[in-house]
Amino acid sequence: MSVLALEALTKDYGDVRALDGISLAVDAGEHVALVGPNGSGKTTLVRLAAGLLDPTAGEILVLGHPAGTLAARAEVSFIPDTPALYDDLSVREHLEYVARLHGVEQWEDRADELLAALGLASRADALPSTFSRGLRQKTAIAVALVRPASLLLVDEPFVGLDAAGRHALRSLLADRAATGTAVVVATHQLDYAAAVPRCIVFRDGEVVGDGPLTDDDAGDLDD
Amino acid sequence: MTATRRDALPALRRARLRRRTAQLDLFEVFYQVYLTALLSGAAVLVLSDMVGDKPVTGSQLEAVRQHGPAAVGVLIGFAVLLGCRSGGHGGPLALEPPDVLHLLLAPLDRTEVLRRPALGKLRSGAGAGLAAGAGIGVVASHRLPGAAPPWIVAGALAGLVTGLVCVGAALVVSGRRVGRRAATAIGFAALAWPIADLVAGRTTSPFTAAGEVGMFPLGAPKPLAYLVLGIPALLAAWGLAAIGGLSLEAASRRAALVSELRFAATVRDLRAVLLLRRQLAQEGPRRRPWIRLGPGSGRLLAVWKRDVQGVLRWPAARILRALALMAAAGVALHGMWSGTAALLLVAGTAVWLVALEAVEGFAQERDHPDATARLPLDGRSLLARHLPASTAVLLLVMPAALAGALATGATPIAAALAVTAAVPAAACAIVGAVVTTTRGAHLPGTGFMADLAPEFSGFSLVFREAIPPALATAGLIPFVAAHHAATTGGHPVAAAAQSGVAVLILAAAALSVLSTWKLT
Repeated sequence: MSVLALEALTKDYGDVRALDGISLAVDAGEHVALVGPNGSGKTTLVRLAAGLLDPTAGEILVLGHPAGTLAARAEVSFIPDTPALYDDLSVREHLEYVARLHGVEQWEDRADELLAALGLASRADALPSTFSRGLRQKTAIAVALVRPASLLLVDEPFVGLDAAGRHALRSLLADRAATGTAVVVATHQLDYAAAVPRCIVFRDGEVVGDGPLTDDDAGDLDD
Repeated sequence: MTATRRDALPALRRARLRRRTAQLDLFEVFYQVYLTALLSGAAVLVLSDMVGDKPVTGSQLEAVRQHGPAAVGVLIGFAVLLGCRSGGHGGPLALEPPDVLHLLLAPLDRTEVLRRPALGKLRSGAGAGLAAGAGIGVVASHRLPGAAPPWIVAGALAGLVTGLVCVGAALVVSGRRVGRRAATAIGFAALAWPIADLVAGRTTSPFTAAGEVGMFPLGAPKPLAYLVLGIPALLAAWGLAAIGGLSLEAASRRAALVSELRFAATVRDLRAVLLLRRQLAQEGPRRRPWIRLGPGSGRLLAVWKRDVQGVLRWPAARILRALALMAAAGVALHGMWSGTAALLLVAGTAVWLVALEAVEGFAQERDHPDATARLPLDGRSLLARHLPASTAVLLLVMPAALAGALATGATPIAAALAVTAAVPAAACAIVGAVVTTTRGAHLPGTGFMADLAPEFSGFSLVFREAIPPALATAGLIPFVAAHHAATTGGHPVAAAAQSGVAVLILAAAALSVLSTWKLT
């Protein structure tokens, strides 16, 4: 069974059609980049899969469960394009909270690993409200990765990250895919998209390419 | 739900409370409580004085007996409309963005997770209704027969019902994911029913029956009316049971906007509040204007045309709101004419709110000072050119005020007064709205009262916030002058015309002060 399955998925915002009857599947352990110009539907797809949006028509399933249902939510982890963090919880308290919400009992070691990998170890007890955009993004990444998930959805994760942060994130995403998690990343970073095995190209709410990123695709997207 | 999951939420709340308590500045809290108590006390004293102690006449009392319950029912119906509209946009809950992401996307029962904030909303709604109703009861006891305590109880009861049905309706509509149009239709139906009762002088709607309970000091309501008091409780229970069905799409949109809205309200940036409120209500301009204007030419009328184009893209909800506020202003002015002077403030505030919508072209120019600065025009002259269209818009919706006054029993002289006082009233309201739009956010230590001692900052703040609606209220002075003339044997229309000239001079003076303010 596919981890993520879309069947004739359509999403409208008022009169504007953001996704137009898309069908595709992502299996366990796949590492997929969603690319396309602004407004092509990447973020909409990711947010639909996370259960934050309701489809206008069609179906979106996570391990056979409709996205957003309790069973689907247990399988999905999501890193949004804008970090959503509590002003009055420290980095470590965020990790503990989310881990416990998902029923993860042994979260401390995993949290320490993530904080070290993302360069946040010395700031574990600091409040993210005092952080720069990049540090907040790193915190959001750690929060999303502290618990296991069958599907990891990531929206524009590289924005605001320094070179070390980008490198760390690439490694973390690859590690997740290697352990069987389906990783789906919406991005404008073509070098990242070129490095992953599968790249789905969007234009005007439709899929216009699916497979390794070709030079033609990259050229079109650069234009 | 496992023990870990169940414990996580209280643990988070404890951690956040601990941190907030640690960061709390007790002196600041006490100062705010002191200021609020002082100002609330002053407001009650002033309002009580303005309402006066003169008992209503026999015919007025008969009218209150006959139409009072339905009038209260209309208020309750209006609360249901507000609740339905809020629920249609995903309200009334306003969650924090991280709550939407972490809490609502976690594998937890959303009904359980949302019960606490929903109960909080119900408590706030009930408390606000109770307090406002009790306050109105105090005011009513000054002029209606009966002692104050029964009126306070009656007002509090009606207020409680109003608050609960508003929040309860919103919870049900959002939890059941009723569409915006359907929710608005239900809300208007809830409002139309007691209005029909008001017109017919009967009790058919449950809200009118609740109104009978709210007027019990004037006569015992029918026993069945007490049963109606169960409706708010049922609605609240239904809302609590249904809230788990809340749309995350609406919740995340509200979460992002509400935090901005709270910040804008904190710094009292009313322009930002207005824009964010429109986004919250998804009240964008129409893609197709009501009427498409042809191409124009020349610089002279460019600003006028731009403003008219903007108005022609007003959504129906904004037009209806402007008309409803104007009608409310007319009703309030008639109330002032009948003896409740405090209603002049209500009328002034309503006209100012409409003026805030009418100065949209001006406000957008102020929102983009850099773009204005790049134009080969004097900035102040450009801004001033927006004012005629704004005034015209206000004049265009003013007949609704006359309609409101006539519908509540105003005599035909109201029409002559409306024609006489319309331009001064519109001018003052527009200047008030321009003040609101021009001054932007309140930043501590800034503004023309920045040099005052910190102890006076509370008063300077109140003064700053009160100026715009006060200007709009001053624009209604011709009605006060006309009323005075009518009661002292003078000619109301002539008195209105004379004071109208003074009001126009006031508006011009205020505008000339404004023109000295910095543009950026």
